[in-house]
Amino acid sequence: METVSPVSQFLENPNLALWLVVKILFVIGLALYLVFPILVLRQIKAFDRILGFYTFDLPLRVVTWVYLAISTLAFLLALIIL
Amino acid sequence: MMTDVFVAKEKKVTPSYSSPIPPKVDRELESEKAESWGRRLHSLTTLAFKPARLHFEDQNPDEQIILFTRPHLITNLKWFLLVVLMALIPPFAFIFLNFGFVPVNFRFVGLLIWYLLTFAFAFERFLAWFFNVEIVTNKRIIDVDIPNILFRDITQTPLDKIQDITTETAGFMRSFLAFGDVRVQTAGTIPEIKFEAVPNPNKVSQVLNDLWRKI
Repeated sequence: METVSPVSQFLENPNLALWLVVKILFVIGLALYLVFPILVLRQIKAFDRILGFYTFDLPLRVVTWVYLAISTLAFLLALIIL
Repeated sequence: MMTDVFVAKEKKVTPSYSSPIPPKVDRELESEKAESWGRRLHSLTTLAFKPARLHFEDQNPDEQIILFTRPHLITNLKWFLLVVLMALIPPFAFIFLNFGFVPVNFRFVGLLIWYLLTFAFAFERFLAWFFNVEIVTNKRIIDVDIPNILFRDITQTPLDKIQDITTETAGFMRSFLAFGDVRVQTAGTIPEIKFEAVPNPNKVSQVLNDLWRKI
């Protein structure tokens, strides 16, 4: 029985290779995207410490943690379903 | 007995104030401000007089926070409308464009990325507004800005370095909703501190003038 290697599969079907490139780009993009909510959390922490914003920025902190969770889920989802 | 032909009038003693504004007016202003601006801080507060509970890191024991300001909420309208527009693009794109050649899983992740980018843009603009605050104490003015998420700019100037305070309310929206810029010229290394698009700019400048006069 003849086995088809992924490389020969891509060469036979260039469309498949294109989608692989798109998949890699999507996953890299989402991994880089994870940096954004982490940066936001760091900024909020700094403002809490320097200017005492912790007295009124609880909703913002909650939204940022939820945002980080959704970004992580999106990254994992892209890894699984693409 | 001779009657006096000319009697000098008694001089009326009028009270003189050493300061140009009687203290009574200041007290009225203070109570008015405290009542209308509020003292409680919440996430969307744009103006608070003597805010309760706020305390920053290098605040001196005898230093009191007098004013907390942020740009008016309406200044967020431009990016908010843009975000609404961005959120509406995918449904229309799926109706009018043919994405049949794109596999379903890629379509789904592409859509997810689009909405994550839209949210990132909205969140970044909101944070730029949220952290654009000015805090006035009885000793100094602190101006905080984050032009973008990677940059943090905190400048401060003592009140005795103030040279001039000007207010500017230009344009239909600003006149209609009573917000504008208050510019504080200083003699220090920072030539100007700008209270951008603050509500009640005249009253903010009045408070600054009161503090400046007391020094």
